[in-house]
Amino acid sequence: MVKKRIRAIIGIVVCAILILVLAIPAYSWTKMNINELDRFYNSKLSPVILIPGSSATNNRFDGMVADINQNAPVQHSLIKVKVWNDGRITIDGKKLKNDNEPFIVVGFENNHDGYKNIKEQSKMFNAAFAMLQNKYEFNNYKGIGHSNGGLVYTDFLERYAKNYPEVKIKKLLTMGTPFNFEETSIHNRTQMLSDFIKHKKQLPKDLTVYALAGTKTYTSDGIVPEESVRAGKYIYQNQVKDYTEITVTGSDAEHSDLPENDEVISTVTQRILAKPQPQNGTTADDGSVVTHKDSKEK
Amino acid sequence: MQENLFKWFYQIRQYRFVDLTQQTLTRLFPFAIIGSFLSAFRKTVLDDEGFVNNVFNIPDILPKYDVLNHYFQNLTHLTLGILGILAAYYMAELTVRKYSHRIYQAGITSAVAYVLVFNPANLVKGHMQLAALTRYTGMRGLLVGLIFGYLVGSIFGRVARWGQKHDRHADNVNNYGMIGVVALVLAGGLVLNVGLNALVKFTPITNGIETVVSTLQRGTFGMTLLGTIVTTGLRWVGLSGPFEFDNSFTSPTANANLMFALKHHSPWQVPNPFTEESLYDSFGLFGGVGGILALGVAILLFSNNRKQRATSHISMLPTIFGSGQGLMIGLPVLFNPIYLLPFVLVPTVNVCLGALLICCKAMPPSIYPVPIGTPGPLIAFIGSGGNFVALLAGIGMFIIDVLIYIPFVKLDKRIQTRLNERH
Repeated sequence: MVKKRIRAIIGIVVCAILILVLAIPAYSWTKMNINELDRFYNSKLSPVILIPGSSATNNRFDGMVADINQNAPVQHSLIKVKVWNDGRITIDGKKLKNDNEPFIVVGFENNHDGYKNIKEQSKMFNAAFAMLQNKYEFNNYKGIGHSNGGLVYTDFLERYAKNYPEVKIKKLLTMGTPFNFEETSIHNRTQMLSDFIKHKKQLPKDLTVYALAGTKTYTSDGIVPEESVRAGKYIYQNQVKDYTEITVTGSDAEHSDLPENDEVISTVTQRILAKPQPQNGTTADDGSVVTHKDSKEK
Repeated sequence: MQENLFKWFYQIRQYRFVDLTQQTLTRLFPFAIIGSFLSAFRKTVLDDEGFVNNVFNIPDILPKYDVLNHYFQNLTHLTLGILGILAAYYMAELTVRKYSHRIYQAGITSAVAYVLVFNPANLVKGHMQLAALTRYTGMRGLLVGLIFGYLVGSIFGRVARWGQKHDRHADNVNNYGMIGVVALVLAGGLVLNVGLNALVKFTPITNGIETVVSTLQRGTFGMTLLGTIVTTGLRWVGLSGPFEFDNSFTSPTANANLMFALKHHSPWQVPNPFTEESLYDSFGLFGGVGGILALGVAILLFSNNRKQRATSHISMLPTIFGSGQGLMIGLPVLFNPIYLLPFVLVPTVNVCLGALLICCKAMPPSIYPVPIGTPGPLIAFIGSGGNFVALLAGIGMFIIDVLIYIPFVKLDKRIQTRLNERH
């Protein structure tokens, strides 16, 4: 009996030592983990993630970003990500030091049209998003989708965004997005639109959406029927916090010109970016009228 | 006092249901111990949230760990996850023996009917997920399984006895009469299933439970203490309680604490220092519910009972990593009146001591994420962000817990001797 008890005591001491030894790596782990959490929650980074439309590359928004940067007090960085069909993800461009709102364009090797490709692209976008979130550790972001890019975003938000419960999308801007493809009537719902409506409950409740429509004729922007852009309301209206429709007319209002349209650029600067850029002629917070000298010189 | 307790415990042991329960638990032990090893290994090494997985960065060493995780998950479900069904099986088998040794269907009918009662609604569609199965069929369905098995066993037994009385050809009863009983029990299971589903669907019972749980998780000392007592008490009878250390930081108070600490870069001044996470999860669970690891140590040091010592020996490793099912069922602790008092007392004392230390500012409340399967005395240490007072408190409380269990281990020893004399 005494022998047994001694053996028991030895066993217990060994276990105790084991636990105390484990305390050493546990200590460094918890320190590291808290550091990581700290960086994540206190991150001020809020990137704008852009998805170009079908047949476009990730150079699609170069002009738009350049235009926005012209008047921006802090230069926004432009980072280009490309997802290849074999799963590789390449990244091009660097985040500038003082920039908390970098523009990140995510393009796909498979940039074809059609519902099947859209689904594939949203899966690829999910992979790129996971990589970006890991790399930059942001806890919120803004989205812009041109044309079919808006469809990829919608699919991503409905199917994949729940995998990132801690990362919030604050605002989404879709430009000329054909929510019902080429259909000119809402009565002919495509499979894609039906699916989007079916899963709309998955959309984040606190999201603000702007659906922007271009114009060439009274019913179309040259490529996408206006009715198809308007179909977005059946997905987002009364599902997200705000859903606002915007129609631009005049020069650069055709489908492919939308990213460079002046109205679109001011929508991005005023409504999507965090701190609205005071525009010439508007009243600033302190009551003075804003005039940008340098913008006129340029 | 001790003599009275002894008499009372001894009497409880004499009840038929209690006796059958102890026998059933003995038969469940192999499943429980294998399951606890699988579960401990899966939780600590293979789970994304696991202790070893995080601290030693398993994904780098073993890139395919998630595939293994799935296998282990299924194996755990098929051992620990079916303890409730097995309890219904063995209990019915043992109960029916009193009436007749020639009824062979009681156990299996009970098990099948039990699955029928608790299967989720989507069984109708023809597929059932393993994970959905385990809610009442596993460890937390033990009491329900035992009662169910007892009832089914009694039904079989009584019908057989009635048949023997009224029919001279007892074989007929056993062969043909049993068809009716099997059908009756299965139909009863189905009716219960429909009834339970309707109850959940059409009455506010789920909401009621949720309200109670969220009240207990409010983060005040009183509520946390009450929650600790209720949880351990319920776990002792093989049910689940309001505090479950499955996924940390689900309660809004814990989340508020974490946000506050991250914002101010310090865990000291958080708004709710007395939450489930900072007190119960950190100090109330040493190797499982009821500070069961301390009981294992107390038995190794002070028990002469060969069976109990062997059980403690084999269960020690998984218990350190938070899977104490082996000890709970093997000793057994569940339904064993001797251990009810310390089982509830140990976490309660720990929670109070923890609150006292936090109150005196001796250590910060543990509010940071703690991986699952972390050895008991290290939980507070990790949760407080590596505070050494918290580590010492964890070790100190563990020693106190062992001391609390010792008199009960000795009492159990006396009762065992008395029971053995009688048999």
